Amino acid sequence: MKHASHCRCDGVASRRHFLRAGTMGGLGLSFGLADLLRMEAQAGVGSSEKAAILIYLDGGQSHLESWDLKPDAGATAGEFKPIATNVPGIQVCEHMPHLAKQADKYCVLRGVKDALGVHGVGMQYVRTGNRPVPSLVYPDIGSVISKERTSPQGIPSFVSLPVSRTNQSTETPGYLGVAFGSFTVQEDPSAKDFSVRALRPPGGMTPERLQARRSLTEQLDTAYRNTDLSNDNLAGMDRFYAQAWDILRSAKIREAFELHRESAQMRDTYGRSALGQALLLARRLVEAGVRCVTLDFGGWDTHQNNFKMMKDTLLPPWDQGMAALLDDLHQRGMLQKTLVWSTGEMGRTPAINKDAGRDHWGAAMSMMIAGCGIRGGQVIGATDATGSQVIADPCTPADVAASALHALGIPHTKEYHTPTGRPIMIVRDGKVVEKMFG
Amino acid sequence: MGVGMAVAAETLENPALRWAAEGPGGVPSFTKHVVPMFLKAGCSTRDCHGAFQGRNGFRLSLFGYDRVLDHKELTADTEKDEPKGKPRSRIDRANPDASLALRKPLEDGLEHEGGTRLKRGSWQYRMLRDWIAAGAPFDKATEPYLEKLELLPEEIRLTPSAKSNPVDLRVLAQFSDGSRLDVTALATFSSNDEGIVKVSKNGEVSAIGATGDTHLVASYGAEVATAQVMAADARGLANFPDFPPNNPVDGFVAAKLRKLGIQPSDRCDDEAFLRRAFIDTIGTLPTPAEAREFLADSHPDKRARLIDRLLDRPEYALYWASIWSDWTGNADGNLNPNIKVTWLWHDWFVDKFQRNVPFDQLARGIIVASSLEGRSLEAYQAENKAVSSRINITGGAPKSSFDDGTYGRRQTLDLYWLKRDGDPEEMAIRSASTFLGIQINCAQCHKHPFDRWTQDDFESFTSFFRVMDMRSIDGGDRPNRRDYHLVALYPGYRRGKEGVVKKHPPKILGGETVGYDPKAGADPRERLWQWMVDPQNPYFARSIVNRLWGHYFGTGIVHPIDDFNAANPPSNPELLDWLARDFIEHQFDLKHLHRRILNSRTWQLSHVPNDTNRHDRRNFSHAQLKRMPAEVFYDALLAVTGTDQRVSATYAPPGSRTIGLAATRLGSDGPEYALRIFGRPKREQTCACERSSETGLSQALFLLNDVDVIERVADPKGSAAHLARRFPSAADDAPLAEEAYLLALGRRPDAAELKRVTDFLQSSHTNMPREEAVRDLLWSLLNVREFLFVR
Repeated sequence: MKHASHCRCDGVASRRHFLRAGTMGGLGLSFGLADLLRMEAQAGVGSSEKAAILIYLDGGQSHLESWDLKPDAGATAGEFKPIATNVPGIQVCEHMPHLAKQADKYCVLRGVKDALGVHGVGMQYVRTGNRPVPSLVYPDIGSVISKERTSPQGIPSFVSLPVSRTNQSTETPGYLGVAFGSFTVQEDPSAKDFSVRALRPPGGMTPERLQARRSLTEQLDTAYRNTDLSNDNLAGMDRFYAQAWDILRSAKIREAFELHRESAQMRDTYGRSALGQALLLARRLVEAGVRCVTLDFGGWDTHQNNFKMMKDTLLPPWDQGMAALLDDLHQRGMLQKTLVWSTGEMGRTPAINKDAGRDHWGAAMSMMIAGCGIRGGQVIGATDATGSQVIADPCTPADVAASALHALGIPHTKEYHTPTGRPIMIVRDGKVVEKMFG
Repeated sequence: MGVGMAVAAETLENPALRWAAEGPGGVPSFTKHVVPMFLKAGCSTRDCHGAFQGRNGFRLSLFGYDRVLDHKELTADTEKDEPKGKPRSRIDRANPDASLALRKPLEDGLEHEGGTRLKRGSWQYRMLRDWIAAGAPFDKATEPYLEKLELLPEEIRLTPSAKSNPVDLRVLAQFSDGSRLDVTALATFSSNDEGIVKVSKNGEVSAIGATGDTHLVASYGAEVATAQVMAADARGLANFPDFPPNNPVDGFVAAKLRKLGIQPSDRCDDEAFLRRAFIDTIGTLPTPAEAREFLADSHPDKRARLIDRLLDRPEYALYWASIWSDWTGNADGNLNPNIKVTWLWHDWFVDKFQRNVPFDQLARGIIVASSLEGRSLEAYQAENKAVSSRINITGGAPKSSFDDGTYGRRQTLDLYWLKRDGDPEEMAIRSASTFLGIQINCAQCHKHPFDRWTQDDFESFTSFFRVMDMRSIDGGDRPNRRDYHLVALYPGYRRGKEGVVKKHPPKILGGETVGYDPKAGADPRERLWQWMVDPQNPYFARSIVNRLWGHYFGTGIVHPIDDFNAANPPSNPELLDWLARDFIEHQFDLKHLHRRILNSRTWQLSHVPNDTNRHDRRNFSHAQLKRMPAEVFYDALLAVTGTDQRVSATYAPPGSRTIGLAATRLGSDGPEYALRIFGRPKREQTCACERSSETGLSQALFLLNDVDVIERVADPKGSAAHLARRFPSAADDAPLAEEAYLLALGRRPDAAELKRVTDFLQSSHTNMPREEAVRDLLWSLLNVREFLFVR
């Protein structure tokens, strides 16, 4: 999209409308520092080892050129052929040869319906598990995980790798407040000299000296301590300082970001693309104790040249990286405690437009989900002959979000409270898709 | 708000009664009854048949804004008759009950993906059936249209603690044929803040328990109306404190607070005022000397006088030129031809703010920009060539001095029109957002959901931006995009846009068609500008007033500041109207407007809340702590550490302030990283939300540990070294503490702080050099949250 104007076109006000307005501004308070510190002190309570790697395909991956090919659909069939996978009866796109060899590890959802068919709020729905409403900003699932699953000291619980974030895909901690936002790493992990500036070791400072500075700072940071200011940003900054100190004292997270510790062969397996290396990094981060890593791999809004773009630029790095991740997690015994979920915000039209593109389609889309007890080697749901309507085992983005949380051991029906005391379920209208776990 | 239709005693026709089993029935109107019913039943929403491609072959216009399309979809022979494959329509006039339009939503022997949307025997069913039976009438030519929609009562007062709050919501519609209906039964309702009030789809209102105010929104057809909801805090209603106004602003704010029982905080102390005034107005920290002078001043008018002095400082123009660079999209990634041109753009605003050019004239310089400005082509070329040479436009590194202000002094900003990817649609969207505060981009694809703008409005408004072309002036065919001085803006159809201008001639939003005749020589943009700055224009003055207010308070009177629409009313309309009127009466004098806001008691309130206003974010009862904007933060870092900008990375003249940086693409060895993680926008989106004011982990890590901070604190030519020399011995500990506090926080330490600092310095005497101890102190003051936040 050439012009990234912000649009609230959809009759659904955008989240930013409410980020800074209304009584919701004071949300940070109800999950203030004291609660957090208490939570973190209760070792073990929230420290399940399960983690999630969530891959957002901004722009809307065509289900018809990935998971749900319709070679017999005539004019709308498109150019690609399906190929067999390592699970008899399951076929995927011919341009996904690597993922075809891993089909026993993942579950394909072909019956996802009721996506919103537009980018901004559509992705917000997928990322939060809640259809956007004007009056409340829901948190991304990553922020929910970050709240529910504490990381070891010195490790941020939620890391975001926006490899290529497009099409108004944004991440927000919503009503949970900025303290549950992600630690966002903008640097390109495929760059030769990749390192994360924020994590560079302290220059020439002894631990004693740092400790002395910290102690003085804490003595002097008194101005906002004694009054309840109900300010989300301020409370968030308090939390970030506490985290930052932990990070500075621990080499663990720094080492997790040191991709050069991986063998060249391993790096090749993931592919030397930005996405491939980010997926490898995601695995390292989860190993180090990060509870949720999100990646954005955008550009799937193929209104023009759908087939060429899919074949040349979109599918190959994703196919290679995702397949490597699944295999790697499996080899390391991590797949049973790591959720992997790859999804766009919508499907694409069966009709092929005059520019050899496919347009937005909310009525049917596909997703891939794996790990954490989700049974691989299965397809759930089906669409009709052209891939336009779901005809079997329908589910919604909210249902998949509920299932993902379920896989992580977080009940999606759990209630949080907004600062004004309003109870609100994590996912309001979702049902766990039981077949995933059967 | 306007004049309400008198309703109390009036009984208007109510479709729910008319088509009730015992009601009179009759032929419904397509516009008044049928189309709104489809919306209320959920049929014409985006995720059902309102989607662009419809659903299951049946499309309705989104929210029913296109009646012609909807009628055609319902009545044309587009459905296949199942057994025979014969085309037929979705309605069956001879046998209404056989109509697909009825059977589908009833799920009468047919599967409907959307489920049952209509109940047999309901008034809605009777209404739709009667319409079909009457032959599905609709005549584009004579069909009335909705003139006005109202949600009553306009103001609703809730008792937050009460279980039930009986409110009888009524939605009244007035049509062009003079008829008026009670369309409550056909309207849907929503709340803008469910933390205060909930409303069911059918209009039952319930309080949640929180105090504050918000709006209820009623949708009927493609229109919306709002009503203000107030849930007053009983504690605050009694003993409302004295609130002596500094100027009329305070009267409007206090009136609203009184209604809500939200008590204002106290007036802020001088220290808070000083730092807030410096940062908010000129993006700069006060120096210790400035702080001492102000704090020692005992003149009763000292705040007003400081405000006047700040508005006259060069940093005022510098900082506001950057803010306007954000708002007008001064981004080098897009700019013809390269990065250094952003400085010319920025300079143009600096000049205008320095000279306090009236805002209507400033807008004219953008909307009716020209390259020649009446000069000969030769003169223009010569001047541009000189400018290009001075800024070393085609060379690599910038020269020691940039433009001498030649471009800045021009009357108009032709660069706004010369952006490489500045297509007319983008310019129309940007201009409407910047000067009118409205988001017409929605109407690019479909009618604006919360306002009246249609696709035709969008296209014909955009045509104002299609009547100027970018042309090469060196005789070449296409503009040479590398050489800025060889390009000029000329009247004439933008390349490739003649057809669309003829189809959608330039037309004022909601007003007359201006048209365009390239031979006549008249510039239609003149008329656009005249309409904008007309005192009767409902947007222009309100938009700028609201933008400035939003800057100073962190929250606009309309919020977000660039989203004026029918469903997002101002929190204090009287205040907004008065400020706009006052601004117009003072000849669009920007400094006057700044002074109005800054001198108000409201802006000078403390950030310390009381029990009644702690959660208030929209009524300006107390100051909101704001995180410093990225550039302001970086300059503050330079000021506290006493270090210089690294110029090579900024394409800026030596000595440039970060608040005056024009380029958005910066080299990696300067402030680029800090500005990115502190949320400086790339100026690629037409949205005030592109700038982030949130905090994050990266920001804490930066302040604690980034090499940029560590090195600046340790700079041997910086503040630490300087202070260590000035305050060398233990006897100087207290003055050193005071100086450091004034430098970083604009205030003196209190007794407890002074003791902590001197204790620290005391303990350091034996184990580290003085300069090291000062570094620790400065570093610590950069890392107390009071530094990063403006209180």
